[in-house]
Amino acid sequence: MKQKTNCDHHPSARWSKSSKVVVKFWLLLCPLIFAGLLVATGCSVGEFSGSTSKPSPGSEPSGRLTLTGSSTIAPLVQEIATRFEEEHSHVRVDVQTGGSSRGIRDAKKGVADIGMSSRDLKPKESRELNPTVIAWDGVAFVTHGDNPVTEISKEHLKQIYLGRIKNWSEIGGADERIIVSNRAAGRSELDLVCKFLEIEAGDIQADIIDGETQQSLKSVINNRKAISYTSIGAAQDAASRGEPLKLLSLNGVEASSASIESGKYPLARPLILTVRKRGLNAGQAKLVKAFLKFATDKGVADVATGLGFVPDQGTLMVAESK
Amino acid sequence: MISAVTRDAALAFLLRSLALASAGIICLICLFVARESWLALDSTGTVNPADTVGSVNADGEPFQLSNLVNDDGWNPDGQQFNLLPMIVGSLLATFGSALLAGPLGIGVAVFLNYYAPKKIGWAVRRLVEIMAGVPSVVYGLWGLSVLVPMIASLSPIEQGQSLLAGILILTFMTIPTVVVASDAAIQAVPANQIHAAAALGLGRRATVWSIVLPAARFGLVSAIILQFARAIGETMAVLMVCGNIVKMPNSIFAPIRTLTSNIALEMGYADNHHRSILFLSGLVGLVIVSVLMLAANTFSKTQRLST
Amino acid sequence: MQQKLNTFSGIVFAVYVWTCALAFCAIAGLLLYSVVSAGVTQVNWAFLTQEPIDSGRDGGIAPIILSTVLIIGVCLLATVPLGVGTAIFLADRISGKSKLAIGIRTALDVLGGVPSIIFGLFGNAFFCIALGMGYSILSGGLTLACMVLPIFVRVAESAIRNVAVDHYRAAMALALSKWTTTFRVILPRAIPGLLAALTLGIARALAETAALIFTSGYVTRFPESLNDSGRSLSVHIYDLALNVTGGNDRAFATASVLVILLLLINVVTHFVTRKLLRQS
Repeated sequence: MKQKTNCDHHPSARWSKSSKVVVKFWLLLCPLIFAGLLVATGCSVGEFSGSTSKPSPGSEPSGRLTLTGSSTIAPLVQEIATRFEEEHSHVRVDVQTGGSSRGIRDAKKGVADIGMSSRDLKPKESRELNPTVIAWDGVAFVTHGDNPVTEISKEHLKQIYLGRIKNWSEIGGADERIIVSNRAAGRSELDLVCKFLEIEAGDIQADIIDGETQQSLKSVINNRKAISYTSIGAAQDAASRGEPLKLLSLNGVEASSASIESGKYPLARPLILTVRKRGLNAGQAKLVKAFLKFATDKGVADVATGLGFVPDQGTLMVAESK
Repeated sequence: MISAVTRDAALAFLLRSLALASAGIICLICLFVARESWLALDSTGTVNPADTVGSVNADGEPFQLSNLVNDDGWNPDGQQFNLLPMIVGSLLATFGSALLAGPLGIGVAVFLNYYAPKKIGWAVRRLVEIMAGVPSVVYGLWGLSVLVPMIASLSPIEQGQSLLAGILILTFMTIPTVVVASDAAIQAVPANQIHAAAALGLGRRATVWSIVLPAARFGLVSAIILQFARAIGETMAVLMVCGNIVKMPNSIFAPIRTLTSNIALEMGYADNHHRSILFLSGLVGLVIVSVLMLAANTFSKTQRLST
Repeated sequence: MQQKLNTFSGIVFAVYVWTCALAFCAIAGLLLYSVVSAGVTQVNWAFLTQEPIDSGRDGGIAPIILSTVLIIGVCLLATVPLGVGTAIFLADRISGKSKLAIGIRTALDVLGGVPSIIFGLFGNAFFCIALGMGYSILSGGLTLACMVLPIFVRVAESAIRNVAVDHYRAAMALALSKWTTTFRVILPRAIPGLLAALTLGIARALAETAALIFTSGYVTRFPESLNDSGRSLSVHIYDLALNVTGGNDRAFATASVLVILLLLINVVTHFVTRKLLRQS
């Protein structure tokens, strides 16, 4: 390498020699690149979960709470959390989403202090977790506003979802094909409907499968021939805003928040917060308990009502962390 | 003073390292996805025959990799995990959108550089760049409320959520990528080549067709590859307009579910075996993309060498 | 005859090109019109400066704008050095043709095809948990960087590759060192192309939802540091549109703000590019 120009003209010769060493070197160091970038941005590494309870002045709770889970509950809990922070200025509550199962997983693993779930805990899960119901939501069958059908029976629904009734005229509607909208596997609405109709999820003959609540509403609003099922609160709200949407009475019971409240409506699901039975340190447990108490208090019931849910009447179990 | 040779060596090392680090990200992601799908892989018995941690299917047999193509359908509750309809759905939607967005996008890029009046060109460029930044959920909402009803009125099965809706939404979403990438490539064609073309008295079409496009081919191939990658990885918008039925589509109006929307739909609500299978389907998707990309890059390399 | 044929094909080509442009403008116009007309009436000073109230159905989006800017900032800080370095390596006339370069290019293309939700789950497992950053703007930005990199590198590479032919030969003839060639000859001329890459990268980052839900998170408070969780504009739109009952109007209002923000970024980049072009 006497001549500089030599290197410039044929850098590949020099590069390929070091190539293997460089490859090995970086395959080992790749993960560290990001750590390096981290330092470059000049930031210290943060604390992941909320186990940072500092000694609090007096009995005022303080620290940080992390909640993850169901996207249906997240807006509700986020709002409750904001109010909780207003009352307890030393507490920060971080609400994250990602689905019911994620909430349960995170709560079990201790990645989050509290998990949010829109389905009941499975027996295996309830061995490790304590549920607290904060509100109730119903599942209503909905059609387009122009559809003459206003009421539906369990038996008809069963036939529709099994693909045996294919035309609205068979149940008193116009001579039009029924477009059946279903929900994706694992959603609590699907489980609830399957249990109610006594059918297997795998036997349902659907034309559309929706994910989130608002998506299933839009499927119906945009197609006069569609039937779907979705959160009562969300459907009521959309109908009251003038969207062409109709909630079908089920076996003669009106699908409304009032029916859920009175306990007559058969399709109701709890919105729950779950907490680990063991493994929370004392300070954190106290904070979690304070938050659960706050979330089930009558004082925040208006938040649930505002989002179309039915606040829990306190008749259901409130978890006491023992 | 550091000598030029050392400085060059350092630069060579740095550049190579940065390039390798960029490539390393995908390795990390593959490792992560493989680790998360381990439960499913493990229960196949190919990894550890004695272990039956994973679930058994409806017939009481342990999960096999072949189940991913042989099962009766996709029904996680019944332990049926056939990915084939979703792989086909993904590929159809992606290739469909590439067929539309490629020519359209390159057409717009040519327009911007050789046909557009200056002010119109400026405005269209801004429009393109804005469209590139519109979140996919907005495309999805728009598709659901405008496109889907439109298709429903044309469709023989009277519903709008379909393969066609997916192809169109993906096309709209990815055109900006194609335009920006091919615009950059076309602009970079050396001016002297175009002056030479002008001196030869070539018309606009001839200049573009026989000088500019060949000279910019690397960038154009890049644009198509980017479009393809973007389309195959798209989740949210496709989820909202495709109907998500897991069935082999028999027409362009049939609803489909793509691999990615399957993951997005079910991941948050899946646990144990189901969750692990979803990651496995992600791994399958990555393998498919890798094969396609390797083919594309080898092809474009031989192209470059032969010309 | 030949001449006539040429004129004819010229006309056909012109019609095709104009049709493409018109079709694109029609679609884009329709989409932007329906978003902006549904949302812009609600955008006012209070909306831009207040915190969200009542799950975002009331109040404003100020903390969300701040979080978005921070996330994009972190993302660019990571993308630009990594991406430009990779692009120079790949665009080089010798190293860019090696087997290694093809491998890296393919790896990046595959990275570009990874579904955004996988990025989200990966970012959560790697940045949030393995590196201990938690749900934070930092992990969100770095996850986005991984995502934007393929686009950035591809566009930057073709910019560098095409600019340098003559200049590269001249530099070689002058026996300039690699260092000088790279920093004094190639990069300055590639700047417009690099800015195009940057704009596309920013746009992609602003549009991303799924990758951010799991990394930078859902919190609507004003972030106090990069270690705090902060909700981005796209996540806010997603949540309002799909999870919050009656959030549709605000979702479109937020989308309008996003569109205006994009317009601002583009116009600024455009003028910077023009200034740089004039200088060089």
